[in-house]
Amino acid sequence: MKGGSWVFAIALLGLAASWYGSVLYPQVQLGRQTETRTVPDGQLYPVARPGLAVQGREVYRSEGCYTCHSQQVRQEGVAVGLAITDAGTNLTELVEAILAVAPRWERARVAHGVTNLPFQVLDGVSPAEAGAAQKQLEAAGATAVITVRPLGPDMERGWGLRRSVAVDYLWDRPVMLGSVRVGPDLAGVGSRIPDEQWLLVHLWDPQIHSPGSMMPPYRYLFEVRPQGEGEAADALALPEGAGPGPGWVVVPRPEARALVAYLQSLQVTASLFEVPVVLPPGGGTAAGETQGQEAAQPSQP
Amino acid sequence: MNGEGTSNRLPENEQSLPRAGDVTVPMWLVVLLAVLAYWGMLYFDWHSGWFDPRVYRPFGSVAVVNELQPVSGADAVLKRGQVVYETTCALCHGVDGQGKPGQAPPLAGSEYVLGPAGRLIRIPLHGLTGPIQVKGQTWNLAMPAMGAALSAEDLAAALTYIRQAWGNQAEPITAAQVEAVKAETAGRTQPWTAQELEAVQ
Amino acid sequence: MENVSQKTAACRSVEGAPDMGPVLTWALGGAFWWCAAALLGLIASIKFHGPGFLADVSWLTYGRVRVAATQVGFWGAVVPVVLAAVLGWLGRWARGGVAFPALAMASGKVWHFGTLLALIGILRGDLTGYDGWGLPRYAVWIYAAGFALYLLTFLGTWHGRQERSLGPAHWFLLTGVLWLAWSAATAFVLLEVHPVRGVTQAVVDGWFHANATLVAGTLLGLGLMYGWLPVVTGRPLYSRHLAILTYAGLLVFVSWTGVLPSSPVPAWLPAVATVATVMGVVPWLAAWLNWRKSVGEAGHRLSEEPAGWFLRVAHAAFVAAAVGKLALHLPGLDRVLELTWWEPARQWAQVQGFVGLAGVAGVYAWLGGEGRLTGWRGLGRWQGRLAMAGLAVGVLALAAAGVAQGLAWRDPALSNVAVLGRTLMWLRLSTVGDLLWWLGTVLFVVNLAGVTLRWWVGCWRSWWAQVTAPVKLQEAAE
Repeated sequence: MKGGSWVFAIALLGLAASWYGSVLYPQVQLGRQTETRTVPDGQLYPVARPGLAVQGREVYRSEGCYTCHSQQVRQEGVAVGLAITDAGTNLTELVEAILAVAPRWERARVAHGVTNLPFQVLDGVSPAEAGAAQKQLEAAGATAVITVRPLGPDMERGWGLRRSVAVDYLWDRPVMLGSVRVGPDLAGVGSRIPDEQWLLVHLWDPQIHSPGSMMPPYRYLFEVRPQGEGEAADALALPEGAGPGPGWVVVPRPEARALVAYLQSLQVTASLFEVPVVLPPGGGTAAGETQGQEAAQPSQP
Repeated sequence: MNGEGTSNRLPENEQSLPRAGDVTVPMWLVVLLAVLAYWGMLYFDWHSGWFDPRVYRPFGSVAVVNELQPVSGADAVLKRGQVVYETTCALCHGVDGQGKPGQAPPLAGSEYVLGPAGRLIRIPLHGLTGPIQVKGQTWNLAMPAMGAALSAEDLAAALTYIRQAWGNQAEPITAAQVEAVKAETAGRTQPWTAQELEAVQ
Repeated sequence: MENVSQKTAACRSVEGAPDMGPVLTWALGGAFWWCAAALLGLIASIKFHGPGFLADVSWLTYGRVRVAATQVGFWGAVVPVVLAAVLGWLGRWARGGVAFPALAMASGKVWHFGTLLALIGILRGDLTGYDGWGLPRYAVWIYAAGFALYLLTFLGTWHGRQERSLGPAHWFLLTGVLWLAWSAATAFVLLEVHPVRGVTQAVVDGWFHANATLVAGTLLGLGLMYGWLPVVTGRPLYSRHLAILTYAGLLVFVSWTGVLPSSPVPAWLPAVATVATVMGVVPWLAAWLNWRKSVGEAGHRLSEEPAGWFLRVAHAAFVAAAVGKLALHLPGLDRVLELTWWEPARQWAQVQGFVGLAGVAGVYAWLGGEGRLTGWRGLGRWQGRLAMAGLAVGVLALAAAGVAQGLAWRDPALSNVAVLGRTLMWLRLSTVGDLLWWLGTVLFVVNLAGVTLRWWVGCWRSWWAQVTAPVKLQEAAE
């Protein structure tokens, strides 16, 4: 038909455009990325994984763990606030300054807060407001830090301090982002579950720690040996009825250890330019004006 | 086996497909395309960060990300020092550190600012009196003890600021150093003279 | 006697149109692997309800079985069936049928061997780690060889077409076949041969997945539909202009949709993907409109034969998949639907339901065109029912599971196991869907095997009849 050349031209243009824009340009932008530095400390990031963790990554890939677990933390916003880390010398002036800046507080609460530091005075305000409040409080002699707290269900579950960004995956090959969250996201599991024994027991039989879970047991990553053949220190500490029975111990194979080492190396905590995180140093008084809840400690992994 | 016989199928010897019809694209589809394109451009403007590789959802632009950057410890000191300087010292020494003739000598490039820390700390603690040579010029004014009412941290911050602003480059001054000088000169009430300061290292 | 002469005539008529070998080689192998893939999918689905099921053998662990089901389901099943239908369609309108039939048969066998390698490799643990590109390296080389041979026959048959002007089906099929190859080659090179660094791998993988299943897949599916619908209904395609709008829209917009909204990449990538998906509504609507008007009042004709039923189901799956893709990217809905069962549901509808069943429709339509070898209509009807039921139950159940799961993950008070609990009922339903779907593929294999068998038997009988035909008196006298 006439216009066959038009069809060819459209096809070429459309496909070339998408190839250029979705493959080539991202390669230019992201494919030549190198390490970056954290803010504000300026540490190099990311750190390459230790050798055992790299082997563990191969086990993760080969078992298809990415079909049920994602490795990308999501974020839906930030809450900017102000926290006092040092109340200075003039507490009464400080209390007045705080009430001027954040009128919704009660006086008694503020008086208590300035003696229980850090004190999150504001949360969920604009950076400009936080900056202005900071100047006022510092004029009263306190040291105030502008806090930046990432928001989102993933944060509330403790899956990471902030969202995953490109540089997190810099040293990984393959990058196993996963596409379905049948189980929890694992991008930050290293900080959430640092306990090697817990992870090994979970791999042996997920029903021990998570009854009702859909995760299959990976018994072939372990060896069941008669007790007393040495290496008893490696044996898993299993609860009653969950082990292979009296006289037998479960010893993890190298693959299981490597996999656990890999899981322990997964962290999403560094504060970077793209995703700044400034949390008040732990403890102290919570913010009264937070719209969500504070980054809670997860009740379960 | 009994698939043949339906009369709607083309005869076997039909050599070509019936030619596709010529109906034009309906207007509403074209309008929809235009409306979606408009929405798309707006959405892109709001949410893409305009191809900047440093902008991630949910941030809208680099400016927003910049606003949220934490201030490092050193920067915090400088920021604070600037605030203290501008409220306490800039009235006479000028916001630009150039000083004002008849009011105060310049601080930018001043040998007393860039010199030993002990010398510099004493000046705001107790004031200055008598003739003093600054950058080749002689000044004979009287400076009150402007820093006496400040806390050690604030004074240290302000002095760090003047040592690192306006092209000056010198080591920062810590609150500990200020405390040490205060201890050394405890009991002194008179302002310093230039000769006394020269003796300090 | 009549039966014998029918079959003899069948084989002889086939000798004149040498399409049976090539098309059946590709299609029967594809159907067989489709059955295997659906069985693997069923096994994976059963594991939801008893995680210990077959868990002690590393070859059958959930992760490997799931990946095998997806990869074999696409490369081993849908792609060969579609390529078979494409070749059959081209051969129908070409002088002398399919060009280089022996080469075409060889290419099919090479391809199916590649599938075997891929299956064994995946179950052994040679997974790639990517969600889109999942073939082990050695299988890719075999596939490439098979595809190269296929491309020769494809182009040869294309060249032999009797009607020189090109209709919409032609552009769609040619572009689909070539773009599938190009996106696969790009993914293979940039992910395996010379891997790109860091998260760029995920971007390339996402681009590949969108371009192979959404762009090339839709092009092939629509091409088969536009190619066979006029034959089945006897009416021409409604509008060439709507077809070109669909074509252009798919290539220009839908090829950018591979990045999910909260991927760990700079904001412009998901923003562009969202805009592109929303703009993709236009080609999708154009395709829907084209279908509706082309079928028009002739809808009853679609119910009269297998090809028609499967075209209908394929079209319904196309609409469902398009809606699913759009929902996944819409600002607001993406927060709930992303990283849930919604995505596998959408893929099932798109790859297996739309592209796969369009291929099945094409194969049945081509078989019907061969006159006497339509296969057992009853089997075809039951396959249609099972496929429709399996697709509907499975896709809708998984989609509902996705919504429940997405909402549950957003509630931090729910533990991980509690989230699973919210989806369990829907997953049970989806297992039923998997079972029905698998039974449908079994019937497909049986049907095609029967067709192949009868064709072979017919050919042997015709040969035997020629060999044992009574010698004419005159010849004997000489």
